[in-house]
Amino acid sequence: MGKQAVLDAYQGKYTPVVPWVPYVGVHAGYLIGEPADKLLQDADLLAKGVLNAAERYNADGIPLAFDLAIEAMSMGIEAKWFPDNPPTVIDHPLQHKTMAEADLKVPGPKDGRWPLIIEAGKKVKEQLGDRALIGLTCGPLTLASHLRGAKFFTDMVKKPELAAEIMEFAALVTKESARIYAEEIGCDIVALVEPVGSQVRPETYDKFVIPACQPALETIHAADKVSALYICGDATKIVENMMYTGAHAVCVDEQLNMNYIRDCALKYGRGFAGNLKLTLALSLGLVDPREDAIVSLAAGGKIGFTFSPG
Amino acid sequence: MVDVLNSLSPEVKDIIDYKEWSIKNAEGIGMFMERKGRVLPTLCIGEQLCYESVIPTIDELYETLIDNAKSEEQKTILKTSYDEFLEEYNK
Repeated sequence: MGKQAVLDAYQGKYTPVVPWVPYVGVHAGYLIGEPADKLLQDADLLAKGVLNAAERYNADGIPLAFDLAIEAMSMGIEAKWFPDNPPTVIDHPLQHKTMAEADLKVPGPKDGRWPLIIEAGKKVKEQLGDRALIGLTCGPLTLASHLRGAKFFTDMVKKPELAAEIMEFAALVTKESARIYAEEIGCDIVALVEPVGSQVRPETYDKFVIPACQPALETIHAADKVSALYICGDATKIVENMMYTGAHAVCVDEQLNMNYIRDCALKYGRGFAGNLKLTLALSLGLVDPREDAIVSLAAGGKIGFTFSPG
Repeated sequence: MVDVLNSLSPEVKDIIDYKEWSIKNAEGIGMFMERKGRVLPTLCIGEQLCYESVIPTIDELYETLIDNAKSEEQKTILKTSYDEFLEEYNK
């Protein structure tokens, strides 16, 4: 396997063989016959599922938990569990309260599900062998939308000072989350995941998201770990902005054009990952996954590219 | 994006039908093709692709809904609801 290849590729370097990182998420549970809600609340099952998936898919690297509710739930915010998906945050404490009224605290390693995530992470790290372990934090924009709800997207336009205050807090939460993955668990790579990042305008991304990513990125780099941004959706309009965020790598969705991502990444010396068509090929079978993989590999090349689902 | 729709007032929800289509099943793919969708997520109002991979502000959404109202009665309900939103939001 190729942990070093993943680390090199994420840092924009040449790799003789393109590394492969499957984002298995709760599919790790499916593979061992366990539902998502059980997998993500049991350290032994999570470790077992991730190790099994890494072995089964011959992965060069693998994320620990694709669960963006960990941070919010560790602050006591309500979420809904599902057997076939990660939990979804359903309460927004800042929807009708100010920051002072809500009195939110940055969750630490002893709060919420962090102890079990840390326990699972340490077990995986011990047994993963020559594979990169990737910790995924909830990105500050996504966390801000968890805290404030849909109003946050209006706030960024109409109440920029309030939006900045919420983002500043979200940035501290993401920073602590990144520290836990980097320092306490010892993940090789820590990524900030922003599923809603692609749904804001470039100027909004520059104004609010880039500054809010800095504390977490500085923490990851200070721990001598590799950083990445994971984004969902059609992020074409902000791909270039993501390249100058300061993260080592940018990992994208199936909707993006791989040639464009590659050219942007080469221009800025970043790593990039994607973008096997998760929906069209792996989920629906409308596109032959083998052919799709060949297209991605041909477009990605061997400089800074990691092959992954989009 | 669906959260923005969920944040609309009950009065508005009474006069519009909204549905989330999943691209992971044949029905959703059929709708995506029928509407000539280009990216996910896309918010359609009527036949129109209004917000393609952009979460609208609540103001933008109200304005688009008002522009697409099918009757004066709908328009009045939307404008009243928008005014109430602004009053609450600007407190």
